Amino acid sequence: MTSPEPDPSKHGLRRWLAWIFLPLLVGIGLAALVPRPIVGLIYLQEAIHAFSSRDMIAQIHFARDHPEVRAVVLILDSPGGTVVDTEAVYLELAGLRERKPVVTMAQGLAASGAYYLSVGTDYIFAGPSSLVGNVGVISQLPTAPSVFEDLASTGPYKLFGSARDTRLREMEAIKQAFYSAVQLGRGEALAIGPERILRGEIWLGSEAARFGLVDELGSISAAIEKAAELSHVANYRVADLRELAGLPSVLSVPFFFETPEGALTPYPRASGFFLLYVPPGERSLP
Amino acid sequence: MIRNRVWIGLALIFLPVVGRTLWYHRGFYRPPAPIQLPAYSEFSPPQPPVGEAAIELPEATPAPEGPLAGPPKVVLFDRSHSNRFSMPELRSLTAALGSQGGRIEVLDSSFAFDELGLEGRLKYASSYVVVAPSVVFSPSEVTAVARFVEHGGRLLVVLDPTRTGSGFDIFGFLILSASEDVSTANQLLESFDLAFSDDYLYNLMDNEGNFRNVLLRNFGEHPLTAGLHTVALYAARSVQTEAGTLLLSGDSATLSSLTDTGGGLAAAALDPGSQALALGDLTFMTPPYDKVADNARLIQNLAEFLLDGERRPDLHNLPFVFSGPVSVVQSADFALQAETLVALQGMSTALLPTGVSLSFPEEVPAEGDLLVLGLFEPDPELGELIEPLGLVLPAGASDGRMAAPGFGSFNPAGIGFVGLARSEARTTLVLLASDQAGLVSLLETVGQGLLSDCLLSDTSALCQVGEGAGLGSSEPLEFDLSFEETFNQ
Repeated sequence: MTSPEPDPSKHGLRRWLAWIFLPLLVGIGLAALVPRPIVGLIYLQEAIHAFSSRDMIAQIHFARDHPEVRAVVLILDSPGGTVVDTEAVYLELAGLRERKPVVTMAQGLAASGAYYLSVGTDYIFAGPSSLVGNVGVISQLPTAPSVFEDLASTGPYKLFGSARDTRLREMEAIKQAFYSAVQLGRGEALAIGPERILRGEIWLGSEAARFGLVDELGSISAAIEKAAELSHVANYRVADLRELAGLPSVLSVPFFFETPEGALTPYPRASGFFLLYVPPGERSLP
Repeated sequence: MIRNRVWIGLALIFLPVVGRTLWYHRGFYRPPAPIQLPAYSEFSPPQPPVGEAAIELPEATPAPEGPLAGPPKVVLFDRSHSNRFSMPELRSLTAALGSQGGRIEVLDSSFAFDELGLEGRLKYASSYVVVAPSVVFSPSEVTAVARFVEHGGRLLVVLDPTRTGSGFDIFGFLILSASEDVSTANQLLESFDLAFSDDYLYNLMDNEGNFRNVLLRNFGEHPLTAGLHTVALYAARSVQTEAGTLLLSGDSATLSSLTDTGGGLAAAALDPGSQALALGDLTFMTPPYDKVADNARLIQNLAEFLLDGERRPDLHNLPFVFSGPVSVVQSADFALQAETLVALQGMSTALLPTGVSLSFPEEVPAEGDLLVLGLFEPDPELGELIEPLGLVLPAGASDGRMAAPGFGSFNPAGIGFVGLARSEARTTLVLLASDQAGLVSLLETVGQGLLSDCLLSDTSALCQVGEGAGLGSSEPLEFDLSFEETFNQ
């Protein structure tokens, strides 16, 4: 009895299968390592202050440092906030844009400092009735310098920061920078000049589109698609960068002044320079 | 053969990777280059412009140099209408007024205890300054101001859009009454073809550090704008006039907050008679803004305007009709007595605010103002002084009655006559009565300026100073002219 001869055709088939399926399996395995692109969402649904800007910057850094985040959509519903925090986020967005596109969706309110952020992005969407604009600066002027018997200081402005007139002129310098950001960000799309923009008006999204303050009327979906288009990705997934970055949920931060009765006013608690929209009907300072 | 298999194997390894990559990525993101950012270091706070015709305002009120030709001109500042300013804020203006020989008087909110009040003080003031009033003027005050301007007084009404809003009433309750300054000021200015708008001027393109701080470079022809090139106003209301002069106007980019339109809007205007000035900003007079651009020059010009007026007082201004020291001249048949001295003392005290003093020379001086006291008797010494009044004394009339221009003839009993004659050299006030008691009574009336019970024209008045013959006798007090005719003259 002799053992049967191996079928050369079967042996060849196995070898061929080994040469095909093994590399293919390896390839599939390697392909699984190619991440699915992410369009990250950054929400700003409150004023821009030290805490909200810190959160935003953390999300911007996450997007910058994670290659799978291919584009970012900034979803705004904010009256603006402090000058320093707005400028900080604006500069971080500029850094991010060198690597990834950023698209803004002015969801409800993109006023003052919030609009400042939007002009630092690649494309701006607004809802037809979103409120957009309010370019300008506000500040409560310090009181005239005086001396106190029981509160000593080492200089006339130590307790007041600056003279009233100086504060007023500093506001003008901040305003110039704001307008410059609008000019640079919007470029030739801007259909109105400084004599109109610097009036500080707030416009409906539809008007803002006509004036070139935003690029297009649309929705969050449109903004996401635009971000994907600019970053040349398809079959992407959308994710909230706050969650991806592992940030805690938004805490209520006491930015606005609260009356003794517990009512929240649209005025900031602290003094300083603000790129902030104060809605009408609330003109009496607390 | 093996090489081919290796290639196929490698291809099979990369195929899923490439496929998945192409499934997700359709190209490469190219950032806009370069990403432009504002040149933050180049944006610096704008600095105020320096005046081309800078002048130094006096720091404090200096004593005027040299002897004064007459009593100082009084500039009356109103603080009796809950005005939203303090006098130290106007230091630049008051110092400029002082350096030019003007005297500052303030009618403050306690004027209820001021015997003269606004109407009394306007009788001797050369100019009247109202700043940011918030309490309405009474009809009699409006009339008095109109009359004051009509007779050569200068009126300056200053508003400021930053000096309005809520305030507290005397009970401490909050009053939310915005912009009442405009209606209050326009109440005064209505008769002078001047009106403020309830707005503020702004310029977004060319301003002094803030949109509401406007630079004005268009000036109307008037000494008030002499030497001005640029004036900086710090929130200013606009002013309108039909026939008057727009003094400080903005360019086409200077807009009104009321309409957001502009072109020729003015922040200061003068009435057609160049006696009343409406000015839309107060802040430019306060430090440090008083030294910006040509503001100091404008303040200097304002002081000159307030002191340049020539008052033309008439009997409504009694007893403040004199412009210098007064010599009291008495008729020969009138001897000074105790009551007369008291009345004259009262007159002298009343004239104190104007710096006018009384003297009693033995002879009629060749120049200087005169107060003539006499009876309705011919007096050769006084004849020359009384003659310009056109009086017919009882002795010169066949029926013993007296006649005065504007009043016709009348029974002189119980009546005192007040006449005002003005020439280039002097002002002469003549007080005549039928007896000494009447004359003393008339002197008291005139000294207190209480002519409301007198029949009054611009240059003469008849006052009751005693029992008239007509009251207790069969002969009634008669006038040739009707009451209406007398007043219409």
